[in-house]
Amino acid sequence: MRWYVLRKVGQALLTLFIASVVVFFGVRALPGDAATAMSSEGASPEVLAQIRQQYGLDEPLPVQYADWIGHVLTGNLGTSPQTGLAVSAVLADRIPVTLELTAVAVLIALVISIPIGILAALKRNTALDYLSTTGSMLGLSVPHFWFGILFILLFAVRLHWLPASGFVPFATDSVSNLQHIIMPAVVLAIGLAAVLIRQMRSAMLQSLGEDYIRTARAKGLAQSAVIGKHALRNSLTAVVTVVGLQVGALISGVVVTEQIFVVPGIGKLTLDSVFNRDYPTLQAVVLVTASVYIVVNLLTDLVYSALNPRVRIQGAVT
Amino acid sequence: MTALAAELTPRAQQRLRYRRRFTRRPTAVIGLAGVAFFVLVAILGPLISPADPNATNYDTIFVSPFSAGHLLGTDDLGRDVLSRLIVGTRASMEAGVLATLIAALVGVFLGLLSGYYRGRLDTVMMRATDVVLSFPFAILAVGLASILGPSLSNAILALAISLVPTFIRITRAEVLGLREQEYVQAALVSGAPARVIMFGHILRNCLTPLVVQVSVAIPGSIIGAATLSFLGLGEQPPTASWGTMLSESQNYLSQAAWFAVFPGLAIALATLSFTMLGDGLRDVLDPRGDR
Repeated sequence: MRWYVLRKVGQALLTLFIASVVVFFGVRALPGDAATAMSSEGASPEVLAQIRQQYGLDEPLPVQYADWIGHVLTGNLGTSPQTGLAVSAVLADRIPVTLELTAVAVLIALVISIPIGILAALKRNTALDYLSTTGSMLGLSVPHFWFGILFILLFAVRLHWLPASGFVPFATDSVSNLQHIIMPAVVLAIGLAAVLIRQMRSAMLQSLGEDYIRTARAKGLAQSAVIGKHALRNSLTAVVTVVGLQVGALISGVVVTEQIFVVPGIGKLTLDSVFNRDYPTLQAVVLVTASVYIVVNLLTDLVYSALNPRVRIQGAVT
Repeated sequence: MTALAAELTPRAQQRLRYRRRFTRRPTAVIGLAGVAFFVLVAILGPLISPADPNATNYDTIFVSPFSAGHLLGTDDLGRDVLSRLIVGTRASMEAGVLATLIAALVGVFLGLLSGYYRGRLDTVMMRATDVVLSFPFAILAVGLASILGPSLSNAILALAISLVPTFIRITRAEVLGLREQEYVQAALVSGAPARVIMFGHILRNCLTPLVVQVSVAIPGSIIGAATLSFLGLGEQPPTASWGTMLSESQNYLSQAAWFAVFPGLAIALATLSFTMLGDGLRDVLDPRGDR
């Protein structure tokens, strides 16, 4: 186990390092040199020279990379040439918004998918099962941004129940916060819920077919105890790891939903920084999301292997 | 026909079996019909569009659907929505199919090399796929768009890049297993060159999971391309595409709700058709697969 963990952590660190190199060279691959890219348009040669010196752009590339990564590791992500704000401060502002949105979305997805998945497995091949299968297929085929637009159309434009867009911090007004967050969170949850229903159903079906379930039934345990205590517990671990594997899809979903509902989180910041040519911010956002993704995948791997030791042996062979 | 059945070669019998398994599933047949429809519309495009998709007319702004001359109404510039949908079909299909094909060709080639030669090449390849996979699709697309500029071809490139690692991994996993098979060992011993073994013997036998992956990737890429166009990173206005139409519709939700409905419906129907066809194919090729 220890060797497996060390190997996985090592791989993740290596991936993280290469990803940071890719991000670093990505900005240097921009049209024009990085100094022009990082300054506002039409900056004078003096300003450009100053930026080059400030960011060490006249140094050799490995030195530049070492400098940059050193700054990143100490929390200095540069300043946005457009707003003049420190990128780390902007991130600190935006990250909680995205975290709240994602947390609510994951919660909604779990609350929807676990009971539906269980029911679909228990009532296999009934109308209910087909309905849930069709539902999850629709959830995967219909683009989420269209759901978002339809939701706005129905709940904001027609019914006036919810605000169409924007965001209010929880500390300022908790009710308004929830009113603003619920639509984007549901839209973000749909794709995840669709995947989870399928997973929950097949995990449940698999554990219901295992010997220990037959043993539990033979012992005379009540149906509720067999399902609640034995089958469910073993299926849930599979579903939890699937949530981990869906983080990439969630991050992509965040970019889209935040754009539709004008939620000032990381996703909106990413797009804004592209259209404003705010490269220090873009660089930071891409680095942060890639790191989050790599770390979550690592944790998912480790949790999964802790729950399912067979994976470790397979992993050691390849 | 029945008299001939006994004389059918094993391969023809297999084909017959596949066809029966496929036509037994109504969703697969509906999916096939849907895909055929959308592909046909994409090919015919401008020929069957009732009006010029880019002709603006300020006298006919936001005509409601089902009115004379404009079956699906008009948009904020008086352009015919049906014509724009029809012409936009090509961009969507192109994005879905091209991105998947590029990814499949590159991924299968690299996966074959990686699984066949193993060793250092394989290690490098696996780390490379890890790195690409560590950028979520939207982030990758955003990064590429900012370096190369937003356009449909760059969106397709971003989609293809994000799909390649999966193709590499699937092919590699298959090759690792097939490489130890006796017929491959026999070919090796008889001195067949590596490319013959890889492309002749091994590739032929790992097609099933690849076909399944292609059928999953195409609808995913259609949604992906529409999403990027919606975000302004794909097809650029005024060119008609389903994604850009939806993003334009967002500004007029209170005046013209239908304008937001039709392009979304088109995306949903197209992806649903491909998904149903793909599910059917998977059942035919791999009946033991999860259901």
